[in-house]
Amino acid sequence: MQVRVAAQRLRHTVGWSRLALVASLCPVMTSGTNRRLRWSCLAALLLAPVGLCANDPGPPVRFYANLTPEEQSSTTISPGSGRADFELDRATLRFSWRVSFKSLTSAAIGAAVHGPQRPGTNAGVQIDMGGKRPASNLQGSAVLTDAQLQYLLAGRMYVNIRTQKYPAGELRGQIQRLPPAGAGKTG
Amino acid sequence: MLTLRRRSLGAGLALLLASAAAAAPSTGGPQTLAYVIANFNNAVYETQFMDECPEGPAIGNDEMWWRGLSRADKDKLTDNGLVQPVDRRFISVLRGPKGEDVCWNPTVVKEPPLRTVQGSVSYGFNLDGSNDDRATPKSCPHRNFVSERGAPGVDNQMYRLLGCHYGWRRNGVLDTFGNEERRNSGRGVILMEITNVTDPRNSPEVRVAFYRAADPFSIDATGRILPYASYRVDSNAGKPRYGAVARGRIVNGVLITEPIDAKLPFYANSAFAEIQLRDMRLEMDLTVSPEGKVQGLVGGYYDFDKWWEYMLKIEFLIATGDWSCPALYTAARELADGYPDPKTGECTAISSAFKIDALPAFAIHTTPVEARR
Repeated sequence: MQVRVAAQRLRHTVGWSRLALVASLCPVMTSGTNRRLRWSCLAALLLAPVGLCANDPGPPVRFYANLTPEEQSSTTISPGSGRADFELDRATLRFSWRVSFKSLTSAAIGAAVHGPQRPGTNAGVQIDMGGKRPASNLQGSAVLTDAQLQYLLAGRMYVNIRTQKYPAGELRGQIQRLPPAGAGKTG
Repeated sequence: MLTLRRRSLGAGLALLLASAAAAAPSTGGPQTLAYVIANFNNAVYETQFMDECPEGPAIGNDEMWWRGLSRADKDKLTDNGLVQPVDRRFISVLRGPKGEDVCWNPTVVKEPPLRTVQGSVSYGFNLDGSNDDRATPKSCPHRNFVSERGAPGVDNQMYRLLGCHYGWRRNGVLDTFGNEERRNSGRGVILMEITNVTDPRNSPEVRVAFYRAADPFSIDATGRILPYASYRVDSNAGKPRYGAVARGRIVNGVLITEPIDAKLPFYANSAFAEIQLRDMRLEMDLTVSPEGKVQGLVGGYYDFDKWWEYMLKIEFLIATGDWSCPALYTAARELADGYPDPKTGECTAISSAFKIDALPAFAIHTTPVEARR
């Protein structure tokens, strides 16, 4: 445990590129002086990747939303549809999106993540994704606040695409977690 | 010189006091310790990104109801989304084929499988004594967890069942409301008394009794429960109404009890309910935190019918806690892992664990005459 912590500290203090330099100098630095120091130096270098793994926050968490007019809280007649895909970086809470939509009844005037709310009722904007004239294949990112993270994980955020004909929203979809491949289906 | 003499004198005095304290014989016989339980929470192991629930949170009753409506009914019954889930909960539960309440009739509709905990770590105890997932004389087949400290064989299917529900998680409301209601009402307060304590750090054989307090919590002006307050044991004709007693021991300041079948008094979310646990055990660190509390874990097989009775009593919170009765009931029946019915083989209890924190207190045993006063 202490060695792993030491390895982590070494990596944090020195950095990978400098670590490589130190690694090459390690035998030279300690040659003929202290065997214990030399072995400690090499062991710390060998275990540095373990320290890196221990610090690894893990793969991004993925979410998606299927955008349909039926998901709106009030009757919305539209042939439109869409899809939003999201990635949440665990270390920075940066939330990235890619949103596509088609066949809207009129020009889009807004695309945003709303919350906290469940389907069948509405909530305010949390993240503006597209400005005043969003076009399909939107991409962007924002850093979530802790509260927004909780809303997201609790399934309380949704995507809303507003149009000229439906200024309150034409397409909507609740943001859902995409299970990682191989995650067991519950029963 | 003077300084040196003072230092010597001070060191000598300190040594004398320390040796006196170490050699001090315990005054009288064994001691009695008592605690009043302040918080009683389902032990839900949560990771920052909710990885234990890879499919996301469990879908609640309101969403099930709303998705099952026709477009016209969606508009009408929710006033185009203006009626909030908490205000439509009384109609949203009436979604059986004949308008039945789906909590009182959880099998009249079939729902997608409940999203349950898929993680491998949980708080809890190894209740059936087995490290593998196979049935034992007292358990049905079930998937074990590993404890947060790495111990195998942890049985906590209640966590598997409830852990992906918003209402039972840290930012949820059910246990939080329950604790606040007990604090403010004084109902269902659990009092613990540990007798035969020869040494608060190490006592080989103690007796732990679980009572209901007859008095509400003593709280200060800011609403905090005061430590070292006195609580009368709720008794009738000299006999405690509750009074499960377990044998136990204190090892390095940690109280560990042997399994017993117990009924604990409980009040939460405007519902009186008894927690009926078989093979109940307690592990509690008696070291008092700076906040004046001690912390522990209670575990056991929760009687299924008693648990579901509580769930029915708190049905009015279904939109707040966000669960769906049919999916929850079906999954609970499948996950029940304790005490198989000898006739049907179906398990009648579900392994559970609860995190508690308690404050030092005094338990007062009253005579029938005193109680009448």
